[in-house]
Order: sequence, then structure tokens, then C-alpha cells
Amino acid sequence: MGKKIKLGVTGFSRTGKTVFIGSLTQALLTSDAWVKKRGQGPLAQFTPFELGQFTCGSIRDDIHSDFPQFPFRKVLDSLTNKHAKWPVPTEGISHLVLDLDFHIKKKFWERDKKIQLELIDYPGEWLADLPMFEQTYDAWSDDMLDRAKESVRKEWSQVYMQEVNELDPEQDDEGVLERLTDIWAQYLSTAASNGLVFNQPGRLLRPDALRHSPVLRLIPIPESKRQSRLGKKLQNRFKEYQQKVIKPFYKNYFSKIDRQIVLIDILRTLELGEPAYNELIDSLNLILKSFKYGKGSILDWATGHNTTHVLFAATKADHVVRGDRANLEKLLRKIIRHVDDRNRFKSSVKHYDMMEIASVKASEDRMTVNPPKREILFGKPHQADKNGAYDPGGLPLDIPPDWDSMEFQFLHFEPLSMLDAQYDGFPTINLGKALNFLIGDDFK
Amino acid sequence: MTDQSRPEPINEETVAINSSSNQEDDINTVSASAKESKATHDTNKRHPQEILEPTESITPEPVTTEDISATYNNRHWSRAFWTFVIFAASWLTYATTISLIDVWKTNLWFAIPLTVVTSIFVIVLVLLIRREWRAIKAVDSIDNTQNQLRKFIDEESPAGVHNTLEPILSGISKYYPEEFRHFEEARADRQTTHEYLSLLNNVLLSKIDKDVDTAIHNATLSVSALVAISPHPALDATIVMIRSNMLIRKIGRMYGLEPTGLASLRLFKKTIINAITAAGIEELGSLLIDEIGANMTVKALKVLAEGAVNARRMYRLGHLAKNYMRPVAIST
Repeated sequence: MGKKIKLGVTGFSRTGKTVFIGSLTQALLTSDAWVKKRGQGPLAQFTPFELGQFTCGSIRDDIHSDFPQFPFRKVLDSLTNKHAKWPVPTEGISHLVLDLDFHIKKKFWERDKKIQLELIDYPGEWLADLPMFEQTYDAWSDDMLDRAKESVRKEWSQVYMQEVNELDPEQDDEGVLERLTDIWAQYLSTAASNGLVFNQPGRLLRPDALRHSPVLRLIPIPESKRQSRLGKKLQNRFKEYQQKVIKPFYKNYFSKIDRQIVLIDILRTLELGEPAYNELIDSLNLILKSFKYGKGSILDWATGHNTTHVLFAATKADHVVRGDRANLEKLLRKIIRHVDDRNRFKSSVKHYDMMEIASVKASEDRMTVNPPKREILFGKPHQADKNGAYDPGGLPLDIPPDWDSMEFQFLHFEPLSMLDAQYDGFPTINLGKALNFLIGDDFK
Repeated sequence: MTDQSRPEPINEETVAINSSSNQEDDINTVSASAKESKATHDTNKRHPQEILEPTESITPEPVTTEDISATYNNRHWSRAFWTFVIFAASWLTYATTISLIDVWKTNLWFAIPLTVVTSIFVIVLVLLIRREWRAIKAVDSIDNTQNQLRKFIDEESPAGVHNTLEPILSGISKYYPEEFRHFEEARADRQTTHEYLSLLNNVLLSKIDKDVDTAIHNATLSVSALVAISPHPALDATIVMIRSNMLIRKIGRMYGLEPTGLASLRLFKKTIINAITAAGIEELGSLLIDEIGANMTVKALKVLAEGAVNARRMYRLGHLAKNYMRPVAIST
């Protein structure tokens, strides 16, 4: 019986959780392809692999066999197809348990050991619900309506605001509530598609098994209407949502995670501008408070503060040239500095680190031949007809940048055709390094 | 400040960046970007201005083992020794030349083979001295290499670290060609000193470490067995000295130093001095071992105890040599 490690892959929607889990799994399953080329391949910088300790990984179908399993095969097919494309967004929660076999050799003995790694995929929209658990309906309602009146959200929430202002709060009609919920969900959907991440209730965007269930008929209403019959009903529904939706999700999947990787899509946030950036900082600040970080002491263990290693990863490192990857990491460090400006998080966790990663490298690093030589990327941007060489542009060096003068754009690359990935794993940037930080210490 | 340019397609010819590309150029590109980024990070309200008055470093230079070991050097004896060497060599050359001239005058048939043999001897001697000189230089440069490495690690310069280690890596590549190839192929993707050193440790040095440990283990066993059956203490000392020298030479070869006869003696001396100056606790440990050995010797297992104590010494010497000669200290 080996050590069990629960790795929480955390991130808002479209940050690459599914691709990360798929690529990591494939890397662990195909590690033998790189045995003769240690130091290279998707597990490069994963010390147990480079030292020759790590033997192989295998998927366990018998554990959590009554829960949905992560659609590894579908993700693999989607990315290794001749016309490769990114996997479809995750609709519900799924598990994947891997056995990692390794051997350790000491002076007088040699032993084969095993680590059981559990990965969980879930829709990123659900993550935004975690801060609701600590709130009352009144506080939540005020917060949501205040946000809906801010900057870009104001335009998208106009219909809802108009409807809710005209609402008769004494009218206890489930049909009216359903209609208003649809309008609220439409507003949230518009905000999400524009890159804003703090959209509550998150289940309205990805309801999965709760589709059409009454508990999801939850909307914020103005303070003046909260003492009505509808107000009372929504207060009860909020509590119900906390107990029946958020609590089980948190308790079953987040409260016991040992290691955590937080995926952050900095490039997309910068492209979307100041509102998306501000909301990302706020949301991360609120969400990180929901996790139980610890130093690994017995007291931490007894109080359930199990998460000892946290890695913040700036995704899409393959969308900038090599020379800019160090800057991407620096941007991430500055963002986390803003998120955790009081070092509350840093002082509570045993190990944390930050790095840039690309779970599946969608571009190839190239250099122009004629002087002045410069680094460029070769790949297929979204909506381009074929692969080509592109200058992806530079990164802003300050965070927050001067939004008025900045017009940041980046190319959204589609995955390259990677038929060999079936056997060799996907080309990656820092995937092995990330894995080494998260579980490298456990190979003892 | 922003460093932005818009994304655009490239119509000119391009080439893939891979491990065969010049890593130093790549590293410099990254470093340049990083430095630029650092510059923009400064939010201090002071205005930049040039400082015209003289300045000095406020950080004292770290005391190195070279500085400590320098105090052990006796310059006068060193001068006397080298003067004697030059004196003896001059007289030998003079005497040989005069003798050859005499032979050429008296007997031509003897003169030709004698001149050929003498010439061959001189050439072989020069080559040997040159080889020894280089090996001694390599041994002497260990401390310097470590200091250089520390400096480049502090400066976050993977190119500097690589250049410093290059002569040693070239020596290693002769004995570990496959591991060296893996290292060379992968190093282009390592862009920080930490990543570079991790790769070096994981792919190359971990394998050498294992072999060095095996060599130490074997030497320890053979010394304990030989000393246990040796009939005389003088023979014990000879066995330990010869075996120690062989072990140090072997470890040096594995770590890319290629020590020769004299160089390995110098390595032996430097290992001991380094160990003594680096950690006084080692001496304490040695005393304890002697104490334990002495107590055991008065007991029935005198012979085995002697073997065990010598084995322990050999083991410790092996590990001291390993720590001293390993290109990258284990702690880094």
C-alpha cells in the first residue's frame, strides 16, 4: 500500500485544467519512451525520472469506480488527432487515479514502492462558488448587484436590473423566479465569455446533474425587496445552495487535497483588459482563503490543513517566445504579490512556487535566419488556414500595466498535429518541473 | 513601461531552435529580458544619478579554503626545493651533454645509439613533466573552480556555470559518454542555473556518485581484509597509503580530473588539508575512532579491530575525496 496524494488542479474556466491532467497522465504513462533520453521529454526536470527512480505510471480503474472517470481517452484523441483541437470544456466532475511505481536504492537494500496520485477535473466556473460558503444571502446579494453595476458588467446586466427592479416581491411564483434566473444566467454567461471569472452561482453556467433543479433558481435582489416572501424564499434557497451544492463539492474534493496547482491564464486576462485583471485578483484572493493550507505539522494534519505544496502556474507559456517566458513568470510573481499582499497565504503554506508552464506545447520555438535574428513561434493560430511562423508580440513588463496605453493581443494557437504523442507524450514546457515541485519529495 | 509589439506573421526564412542551437545566445536572450524586466520593477522615488566619488564593496569576500590552505605554505622551503630542482637539472643536462660530446669524439658507433636513447629519454621526460604539470594545475584549480561556480550561481548565469565546468565535463565525457550525451542534449532547455545544476546532478553526476560510492566500498573492503592479514604494522601503513592513493586517483578520474602520479599525491594532500580546514569535527571523529580502536585492540578481536579502524579511515577518506572533487558540491 503506497502513499496517497490528492492533487487539486485549481483554476477558473479555460485555464487548461483538462489539458493539464490529460498531458500529465500521458507523460506518466509513456515515460519509458524517454528512458534512453533522460533530461528530455515531458517529464524533464522531474527528478525521480531523471535519476531513474520512476518506473512507470498506470491508471487505476478500480478506485472510485462508481464516480465518473476523467475522459482521458477522449482528451488524448482530441489532441493526437490529425486535425488536433483543444478538448471540449468540462461539464462535470471526474476523477483519475494513477499508480506511480518507483524504486529506491539505498546502501544495503533496494525496494519497489508505489504512490497513488488522485487527480480531479471539474468545471472552473464552480470554483467561483467557494467564497459564497462564508457569506449570508444579504451580503452575497449586495456584492453581486454591486459588481453587476460596475464597468463592463453594467452593460450586460441591464436587462436583469430592469427586470428585478420591476419585480413584485410578494408574488411567490416559481415561474417568475425561473425566468429571472435565466436572465441572470445569460448575464453571467456573457461575462464569462468575456473573460470575467467571478460569476456566481457558478452552477448556473455548468449545472451538470443539477440542470433544471430548483436549488439553482438563485438570484440576487435589491435590499428593499428582501423582506418580502420572495426574499425569504431566496434566503432559504441560498442556504440550501450552500449546504447541498457548495459544501459537498468542497468537502469531497477540496478539503482533503495534499498538493495544489493553481493555473492562471495571464495572457488572456491581459488581453481582456483592466476589468478582467481586477476581477482575477479579487477572485483569487477570495478563493485562496477557502483552502486549508498547512506546514505539515501534526496540528495542521489534525485540523485538516493538509495542503502543504502550492504551485501557481502561468499557463500558455508556449504562446510567447522563449526570451519572454522568464517575464511571464515575473508577471505571475507580481500578480500573486497583489493577490497575497499581506503574505497571509505565504505564511500559512509549507512550500509554494511559481512558474510558467504549457501542458501541451502548441507552437514550436524558432528563430529567423536573416539578421537581426529574433525568436518567433511556428504554429497555427486560431482561424488561420495553415501552420506558419509568427511573432507573438511582447509582454507588458509592469503589472498592473498602463491600461490606457496598452493594447495587448496574443495569438491563440491551436494544437499542432502530434501523432507521436500517443507513444512519447506531449511536448510540454515545465510540466516535469511542476510535477517535481508537487510530488518530487514523496519519491523516498 | 511596456515591451510590446503586435502579433504578426513572419514571411522570412526561419530555423527551429533546438539543442544544437547556441545555448549561450539563448541564455543571453533570456537574461537580457529578465534584466530589462528587473529594471522596470524599481518603484523607488529616488531619481537615478551618477555617483562620481570612489566606492567599495560592503560585502566582504568569502573566505575560501584556498585562503586558509595558503597559510600552510612555506614559501622559503618551496623556493629552496625549486632551486634544487633547477640546480640538479642544469648539472644533469650539462654532464649529459659533455659526456655525449666526448663519446662523439671517441667512438661514433656508440655515440649514435646513445644520442638517440638520450633524446628519446629527454622527450619522454618532457612529455611526462608536461602531463604532470597539467594534472597538478587541474588539481590546483579545484578551489578556484568552486569559487567561480559559486560566483556564477549567485549571478544566476548558467552560461558562466557551464563555461567554468567545461574542462571537467570534457574529462567526464571520456568515461561516461552516454550520460554526457544525455546531458548535452537536454541542457539547451535549461535556462536557469538551478535547472542547469539539477540536470547535471540528475543525469550525469548521480551516476558517477554511484560509481564513486562503489569504488569507496570496494577499497574499504580490500583494505580491511589486507590489514587484517598483514603481519606487520609497517606493511599496514604501506597498504593503506597505496590503496588510498589508488582510490583518490580513481575518484579524480571519474570526476573528470585525470590525475597522474604526482597529481594524485597532491590531490591526496589537498583533500586532507581541505577536510581539516573545512571541518574540525572530522578530527574529533577521527580521535573517537582511534579511541574505539584502541579499546578494542586490548580485547580479543585486536586484528579485526585494526582492520575495521583502517577500513573506517579509508571510507572517510574516500568520502572526503568525493566531496572535494565533485564538480558541483552536493549542497548546491
